[in-house]
Amino acid sequence: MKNKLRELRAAREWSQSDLADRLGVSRQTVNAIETEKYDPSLPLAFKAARLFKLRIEDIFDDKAE
Amino acid sequence: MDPNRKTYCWSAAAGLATYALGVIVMYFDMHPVTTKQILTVITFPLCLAVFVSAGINLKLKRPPERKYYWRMLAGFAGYALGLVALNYFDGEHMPHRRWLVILPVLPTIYLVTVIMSCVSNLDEMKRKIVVEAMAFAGLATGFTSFSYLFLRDMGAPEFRPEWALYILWAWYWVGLFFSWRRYR
Repeated sequence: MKNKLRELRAAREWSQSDLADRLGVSRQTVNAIETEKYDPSLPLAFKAARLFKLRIEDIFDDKAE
Repeated sequence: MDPNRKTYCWSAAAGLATYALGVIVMYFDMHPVTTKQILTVITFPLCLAVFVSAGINLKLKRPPERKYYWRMLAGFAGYALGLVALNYFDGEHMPHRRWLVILPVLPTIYLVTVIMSCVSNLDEMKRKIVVEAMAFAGLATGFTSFSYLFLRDMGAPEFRPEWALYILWAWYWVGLFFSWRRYR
């Protein structure tokens, strides 16, 4: 799934570990999401949306359109 | 050297030493080791080595990991005590002797609950990797065990139940490798 996690993280100058700590997951999970190898669960997507104060669809794109 | 790295090095060295010592002790204790016992000699000290190694770097682990370490250790200690008690009480004239098998089985049920609890508390991607590996291992073990029956009919030795555990472990690591590669 396409996502803007890397851009959003870079804009805040956070490392993958920083973001992982804020989301309560491992750094490997953040890396796998950013490289589009792993699709996050719905609770994790909501957590990311709350963290960046955005809607889920503003961060994740399911290529449906 | 970084103190954490030093601790990991010590724990790895202690684990290897424990394993080597365990294999040597078991080999000479069970001498002459038959082909049926060789897997026990190779794998049993591995459990001990993992506990020794993990125990040394325990302070570097997160609190939930420490909790699971102690629970797993308690489960394995219960299992070992259960086996000792089973051998102690088991006798030809013992009434209902088959019920004694519950002694080591109860700790293994506890161990299963600890493992499931540990897996369900893993980070979500790691959980997915582990669950995929477990599913692969379960299916592959079933098919391997069943396929072995054809080999047995061609003259291979009778399938021993303990082989299933070793096969399960082997397939689990294969599954873990491929699943981990997919999300790496």
